[in-house]
Amino acid sequence: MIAHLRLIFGIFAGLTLMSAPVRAQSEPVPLLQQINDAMQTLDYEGTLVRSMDGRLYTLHVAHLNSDGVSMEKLVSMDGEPREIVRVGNELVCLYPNRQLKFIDKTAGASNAFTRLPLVAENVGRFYELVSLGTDRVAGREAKRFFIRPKDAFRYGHSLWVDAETLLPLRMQLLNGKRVVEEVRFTDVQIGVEIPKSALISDIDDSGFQVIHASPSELAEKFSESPVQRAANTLSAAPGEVVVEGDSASGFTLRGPRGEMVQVNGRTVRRFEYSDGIATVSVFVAAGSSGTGGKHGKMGATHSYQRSVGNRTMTLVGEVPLNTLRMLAEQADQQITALDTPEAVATE
Amino acid sequence: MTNGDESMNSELREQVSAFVDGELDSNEAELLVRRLGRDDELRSYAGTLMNIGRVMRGESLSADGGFVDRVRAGVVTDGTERGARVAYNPGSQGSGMPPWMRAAGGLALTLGVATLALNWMDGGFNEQPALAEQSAEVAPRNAAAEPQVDYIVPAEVAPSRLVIADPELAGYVMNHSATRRTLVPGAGIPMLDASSVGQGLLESAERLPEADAASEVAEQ
Repeated sequence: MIAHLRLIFGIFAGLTLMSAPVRAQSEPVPLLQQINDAMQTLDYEGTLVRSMDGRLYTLHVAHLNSDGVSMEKLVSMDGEPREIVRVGNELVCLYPNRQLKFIDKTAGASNAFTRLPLVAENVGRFYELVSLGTDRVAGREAKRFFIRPKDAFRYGHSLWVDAETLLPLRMQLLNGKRVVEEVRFTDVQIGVEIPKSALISDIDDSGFQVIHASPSELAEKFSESPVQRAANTLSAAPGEVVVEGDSASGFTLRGPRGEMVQVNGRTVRRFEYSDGIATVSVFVAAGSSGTGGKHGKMGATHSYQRSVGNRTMTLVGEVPLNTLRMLAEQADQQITALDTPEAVATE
Repeated sequence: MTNGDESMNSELREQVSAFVDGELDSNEAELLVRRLGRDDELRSYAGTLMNIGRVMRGESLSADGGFVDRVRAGVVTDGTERGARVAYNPGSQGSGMPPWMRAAGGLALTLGVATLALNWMDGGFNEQPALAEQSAEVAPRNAAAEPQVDYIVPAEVAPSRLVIADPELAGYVMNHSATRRTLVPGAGIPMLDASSVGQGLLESAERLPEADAASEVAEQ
């Protein structure tokens, strides 16, 4: 049965491939670098629509670069009111209906606006860039590209960038022909003057419950708190690591050696893996979750959690679920190796 | 097959075969992945099936290392590897699948795509199903003379039916989203509603000592 299906599969796949026209293909890194520069340095304002899992989110975005610092404010135009302000590394989300304020100061991590993925040299190994001509998005001429994955461990990216400035105007994450997530401008003004006042929140957040994603600030203020004691038990150590290894997944561990972050009231370590385009966060918490593994998804973002020994690993990333499972094996071994006394001593 | 295969019972072999075809449910796949991680013989068998599939699909076995090499490296996949190569043609109308895929309808890719629609996180999937279809179907129509680009598509595994809105995972997603690196503006922001993060956020607020309410960022 399997053999027959494979035969059908192979014949038709072969015919399909033969009919595919040849497109210009190239290494994606130069374009990605230009896109990254455009996103960081340009001032722009417009309306973004984000689509995932059958829901559309409309956001107004204003971005400016002031003295080399990227700043942006996003205001949700539908659904529950939300306001998101980023300045450099710092992120604040305000939920006025719920009187909640989520703060993430990614201390010790790379600049949150370094949107170019961490492992640029990996990109060409796992993706290739296909030029697809021109199109129009939000009333602007756009160059269209497809970032094609070379294997089945990652999604394809369809990308439209402004022909004049290279600001990305639209992106689709694709699983085959299925758009698993999409972000696009419906209108945008590029190069307009945006005053800093445009980034000030209109929401009075006095009295809001404050939720910190990173415990670093708290740790300074409450060094004897349960949070800090928990952090101490997790043997975090400063310094950067790069662990490439012979990973089939193509995801390389790079960055802080277990950045301490706050999730659901717990202090956990966060490691970042990247294949050059997609990033996967690997959270390691002390203690077993007692589950055999659970997972979830939202748009292109999958999450996967499992316990190994006396710790629980949770992986989140814009990759297929199977990639997370595979990466869990890799991360478990690599993080264990990092935590050996010998590894710590040699840093 | 080698003599070693004789020691592998037929039930297990069937299971590996189903796994390769993406027909195992999530829990079964999970168990098998773990077993593959410690059973060289089983990995070899799975790798052989994978390679057969590749040959049948006209792919090069040496393209990127092969499944056997990968699992020997300590990394195991449970269906991703067998992702089918398809032609990405965003402008195409109709069913959205090439003929060969329809002919092989029943295979995991088809199943996987269908089940991917399960969205546990936001709880709003049923509210606007038409919008999802609109997004997937209408958006690509804009480009004239749509090109075709073929590539390998991950075979998704259906989320377990046991998975429901999980506030713990939602908290992790929130944290990841805040630092997610993206290729476009607006994609790297936490889109979770407070309601979907729900208990996770609230528990966090209750457990943490109250810090300075003032946010340097919001007050700038």
